[in-house]
Formats: sequence, structure tokens, C-alpha cells
Amino acid sequence: MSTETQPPVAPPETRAWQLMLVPLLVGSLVALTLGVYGSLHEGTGVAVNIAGFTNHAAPTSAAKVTLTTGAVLFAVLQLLSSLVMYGKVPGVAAPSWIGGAHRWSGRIAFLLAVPVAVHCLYAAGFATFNTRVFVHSLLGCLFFGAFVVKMLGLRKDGMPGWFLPLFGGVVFTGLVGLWWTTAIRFFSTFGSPF
Amino acid sequence: MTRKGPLLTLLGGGVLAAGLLVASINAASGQRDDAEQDLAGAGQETPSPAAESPEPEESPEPAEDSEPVTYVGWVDGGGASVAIIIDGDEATAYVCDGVTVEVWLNGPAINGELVLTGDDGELIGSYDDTEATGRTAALGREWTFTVEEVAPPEGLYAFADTIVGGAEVDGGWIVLPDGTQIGVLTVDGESGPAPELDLATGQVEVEGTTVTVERRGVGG
Repeated sequence: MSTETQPPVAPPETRAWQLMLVPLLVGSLVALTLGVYGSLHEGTGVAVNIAGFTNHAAPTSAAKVTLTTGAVLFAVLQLLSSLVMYGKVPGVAAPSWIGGAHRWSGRIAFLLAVPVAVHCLYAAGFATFNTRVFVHSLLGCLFFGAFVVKMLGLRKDGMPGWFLPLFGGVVFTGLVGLWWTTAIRFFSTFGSPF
Repeated sequence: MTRKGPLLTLLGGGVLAAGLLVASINAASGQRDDAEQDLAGAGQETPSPAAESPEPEESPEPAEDSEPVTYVGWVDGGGASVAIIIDGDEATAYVCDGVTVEVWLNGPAINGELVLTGDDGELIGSYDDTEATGRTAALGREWTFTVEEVAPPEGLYAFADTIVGGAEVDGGWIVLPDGTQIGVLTVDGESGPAPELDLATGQVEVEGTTVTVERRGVGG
């Protein structure tokens, strides 16, 4: 935040909520759409194959686990670069390229997660048959919804200071939770995806 | 607002998702067409596969189309049993604890990988010529398993119909190599252990009516 005396428009609090309204609405709609589509659409058990893991015992799951693990690694970079950007790491000054690094690590993480989500939604759908898959299904909707809120919110000036940490945190936690509720199981059944 | 980056990120993800979705729909409908053809072929009671008319030679049926393969066995720890039938690139699994839990799962069997789903469970695993192995979840419980390929009369038997008297009956039996039967019978929504199946005749008595149960996986 710069040190300008007064924001030129309206009382800041009303304005903040007005600013957040559209991102929150769109993000909620995205989360809701994913959940409703996942529930209504009957899982086909099949979707387009993502990558060449044909030598693995479970090629589709291996590809998904690899992409998700990649997304989580880039998300860790997200967390670290944002801490540096806001000067939260003692003794580390934010280098000029940190903003670009943050943006691109986020884009890569998001793009790695999209094919996995499409496969989950199309081949399996929103499932509730045990706690693990229920939590996983909910987190999937939450993750993409919160990500949309954060992206749309980024475009507006005058957001409250807690906006980015909160939604960045939800997005990060959601992704780690998604990874945790699936990849652990894969690793214990098959070991390495390679 | 001039900050377009976040919007482009979202659009990029959206375009990628849409493209993959379209590709998936094509992939799935391609498979469904195959499955419908298989079903249509199997539905004709298979009166005479090769005899009588010379027409079959002209049919485009792929020669590699093999008989369905059945795998059955206990889950690790013995709390339930699993039957998997692989027919070409499609698979059906039945997971049953012999008391009340029974789940039907379906999905593709491609390149030795099984990803089967259903309303109340899932099964993820791999298979080869002799056995299938993996994990399955049914009605909130999870098991690992390794099950072996078997030949009739071992395998999976199922019955679903309305019997004399109007009761809705739905049953599944897994017959293991040692002759053990693990089955659940649901009559009008009430599930319980299934009565013993006479493997010689395929008959079983349900609510005082004798019904004939079919072994799954032969002819469709």
C-alpha cells in the first residue's frame, strides 16, 4: 500500500465489500457448478488419457498423481515467493523478479491441476461413498472456486489487506488437501508413479 | 482496470478444461459405441456362432475378441470378497461381504489397468493373465486384494428380477475355488446373506420360489 493520504472514493469499508462482491459471486458459482456437474454427470470411468505412463500398472492414476504432485510443488513456490514479496522472510529483500516468479509458478500450478480435475469430474464425478472421497470432492470444488475469487480479486485496487492472504491460503490448503486425499493412497499401493 | 494477467490465467485454464472435456466426451462416446455393439451382439441369444449361414465371415467383428475373464477371491484380511469380470476393454466388479454389503462397479480395463466406479464405491487396480490386484472401497470401507483368474463353475452369479408374488429380488454370489459362496440377497430393499446356490442347476430358493441364477461373464 502506498502512503497517499486518503482514498479518493467512498468510505473504504463499503467499497471493499463492493469490490469483493463480483469475485465472490463468480467464485461461488464456479464451485457450485463443479459440484452440481460432478453430481449429475454419471461418471464414465473413462476420459482422454493425459500423458504417456503406459508402462505403469495404473497409467491414468500415475499421470494424475504426477500432475498433482507437480502442482503442489509449484504451490509451495507460490507460498515462499509471496512471503518474500511481502517482506515476511527476515533478512531477505524481495528481488525484482519475484513478482514474475510468483505469477508464473501459480499459472503452472493451476494449469497442471486443470487436466486432473477434468478427469476426476468426467470419469468419476462428485462422490460421497467414504469420508476420503467426500472430502476430496468438496476440496476440488473449493479449490477452483477460491482460485477464481483470488484471480478476479487481484484485478482490483483497494482490496482489504487480508484478501490475498486469505484466498491464497485457502487455495494452497485446498490443493495440498486434494493431493493428500489421493496421492498418499496411490503411493502406498503402487509406490512411485514412474 | 488494465490488469489482464489474472483474467488470462483463468481463461487459459478454462480453454484447457473445455478442450480436455470435449476430448473426453469423444473418448467416452467412442467406447460406448463399442460397448453397445458388443451388447447388441450378445443380446441375440447367440444361437449359432459359426454354423448354418456363411454370413459371419463378412462381419466386421474383430478376431481378437476373446471370452470374458473372471477373477475372484477374498480381500486381504478376509472381510469381503471381490469378483472382477473383464470383457474386452470393459470390466465389471462385484464386492460383497456376504452379510449386507454389496457393490457393483463398472469401468474400463485398458492396458492392464482397472478404474471402476459406482454409486457406492470404487476399485482401482491392475490385472494380468493370472490375477488382478488393487484396492477397493465400498460403502465406507476400504480393502486391498489380489484375486485369481477362475473358470466355471467358479465365478460370479447374479440375479435381478421381480419374482412370483411381486417381490423385487436382487442377488449376487461369488463362488470361490474351494466352493465357498459369498453372496448377498436383497428382497424389496432388505439385504441379507444369500441362500446357497445349487451350482449344478443354477437354482436357488427365494421367498419360497425357485429362481435360476446366471453366471455372469459368459456371452455378455
